[in-house]
Amino acid sequence: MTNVLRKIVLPTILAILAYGFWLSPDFKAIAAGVAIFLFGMLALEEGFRAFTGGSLEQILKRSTNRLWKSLSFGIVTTTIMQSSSLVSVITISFLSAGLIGLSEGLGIVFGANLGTTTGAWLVAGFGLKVNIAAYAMPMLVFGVILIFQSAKKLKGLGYIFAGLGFLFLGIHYMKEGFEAFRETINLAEYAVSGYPGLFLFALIGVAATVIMQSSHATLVIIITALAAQQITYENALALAIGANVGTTITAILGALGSNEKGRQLAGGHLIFNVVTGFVAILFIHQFKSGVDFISAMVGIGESDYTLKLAVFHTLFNLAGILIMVPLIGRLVHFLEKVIRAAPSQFAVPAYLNESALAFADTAIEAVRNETLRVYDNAHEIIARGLSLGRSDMFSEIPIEDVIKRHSRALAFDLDAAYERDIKSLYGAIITFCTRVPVEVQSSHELSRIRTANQNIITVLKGVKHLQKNMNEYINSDNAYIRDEYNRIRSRIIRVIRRLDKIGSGNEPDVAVLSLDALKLTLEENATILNERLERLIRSHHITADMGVSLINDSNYSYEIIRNLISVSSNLFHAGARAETEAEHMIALEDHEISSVLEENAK
Amino acid sequence: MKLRKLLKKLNDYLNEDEKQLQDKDDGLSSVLKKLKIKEMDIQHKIEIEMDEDERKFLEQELKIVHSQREKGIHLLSEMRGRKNVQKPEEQNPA
Repeated sequence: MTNVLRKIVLPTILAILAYGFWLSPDFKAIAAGVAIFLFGMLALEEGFRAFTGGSLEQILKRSTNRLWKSLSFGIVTTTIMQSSSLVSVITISFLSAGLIGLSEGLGIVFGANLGTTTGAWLVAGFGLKVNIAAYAMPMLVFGVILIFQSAKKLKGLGYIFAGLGFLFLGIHYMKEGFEAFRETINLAEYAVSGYPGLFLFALIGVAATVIMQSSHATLVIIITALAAQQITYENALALAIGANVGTTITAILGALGSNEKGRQLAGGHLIFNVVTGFVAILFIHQFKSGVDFISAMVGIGESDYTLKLAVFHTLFNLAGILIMVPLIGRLVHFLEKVIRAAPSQFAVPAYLNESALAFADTAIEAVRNETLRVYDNAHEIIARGLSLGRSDMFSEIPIEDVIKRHSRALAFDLDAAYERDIKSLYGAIITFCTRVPVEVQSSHELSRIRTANQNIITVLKGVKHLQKNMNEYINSDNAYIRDEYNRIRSRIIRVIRRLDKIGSGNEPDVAVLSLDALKLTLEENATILNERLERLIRSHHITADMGVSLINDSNYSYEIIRNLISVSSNLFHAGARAETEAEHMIALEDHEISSVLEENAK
Repeated sequence: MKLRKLLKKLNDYLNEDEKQLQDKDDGLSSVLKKLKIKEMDIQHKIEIEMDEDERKFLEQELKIVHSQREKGIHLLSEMRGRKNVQKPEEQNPA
């Protein structure tokens, strides 16, 4: 049922949007604005991701590791950029990219709220107006040029510029779309006295800021309306409070395209602004007196509402910080509880539990069983990575028929499968190994199982490398290259089947030693393959490019097989421990296999 | 019988190194026995195998098993030699 619903939801949304676009060009502009804005967020995140683990992360960590530092960081950056929304969305992308934590992010956002109030002071005091939006178009152009560069940092910088450009472009379109609604805002119609009036005007302030995507624009309307005496001074203050809350819409929009961390920050931003707004409305008279007092102190004229509003703005945001900063720990806790990560899609360990740690044998057995699970998941990835079906790979069907049945390349995201089915288990195994009793940690058995895990990872890496060219060449018109890649697939299937047979105990029970014969075949095949490859290139049946790919991929396949054998060798064990040890002692070394191979050649 | 078992356990406990060597000896002997059976089994398979490729593969496997047995026998005799050298030393530490 949920699957059916899921299938219906997306087409329905698309259909409704299409109908809306057809009905209203304004709606189209707003929706396009939101889309461009979100695209900007994605680009910004992508850009900051390029700097993870580097100097930016270091700088951010150092400048936000204490609350006062993160607050100051927010104040200073917002003062420089003159846009708290921009600082908020950038902080969201920092958080999403894992550059900073939630409490540091909240500190920056709180600071940004205070930093944004400096705008009016800058204008009034120095006649200085920073309009970062003016740089949006050049940023877009520079950004796209930088994206085309191959250096990782430059590319990252390009994404950041382009992201900022798209953010402004998105906001521009949203504003354009809402332009039609602007005419409908006539503040005089809503003049109500007392607290109901204050709340109503605060709500209007929210709506106006959401619509115009700018708290500055709302402030301009407020000052105009105040000068025309359409509204009272108190109502103007309420509007300013509303504008402060409404400005969080940009962060909320930004968080839509973000992960749970970003959403938690946007939630924190909203809570901060709403709480601050409530407090400001409740104590409006005290704030008013405070503003008058400060204005008189610094010599602001009785009717200089621009500066008086700036004083008010600064005052209530400062009050908000004083109230909220002591509660920041609780706020983090609350946000993490309310806005949770989507249920994990990653594999969860089944055998690694506390009770298994009690004894050496149980600990080793738990690690072995978990590793076997990793290996089992890896088989699925190997099969799909080679464009095969797992059941066919392990079946009794002749390998040629399996290859024929799967002659088309399969689109398979190996990285995603690795993240989902392997990485978390592998991580849990490594962690568990560090917790087992010390005498077990140095045992041959555990060290072999650890090596088996590394072997599995190497196999998957090999399959990933192989997949790229293989998917291209098994669909190729050139029969020679196609056959060679199918030969690689066959070889891997043959080895996997053989290992499965040895592991399942159908062979006489010297499993570890049975692998030596496979190693010999591997070495022999490698020699034969190299000779055939040379012939193919010499006779121009394949191009030089194909030859290079084939040489590289043959090496990958060699590594895959070698590591597959090694996984089995490290995971198989005889009934008695002494026998397993003896088998490992007797197993032939590489040079011993080579001498058998040489004898064969004679 | 029970007393003898107990005494063996006590002896094992007191002579940990010797027990480890004995375990290794037992393990190697057991694997060598299995390898001998496997060698004979492969030889038999080669005799009745009609397919040329498969026979070749079996012959290779036979060589491998043979090399493994040689290595195992060498290891075992080396270990037993060491054991024999150790014993008189233990008796006459001076």
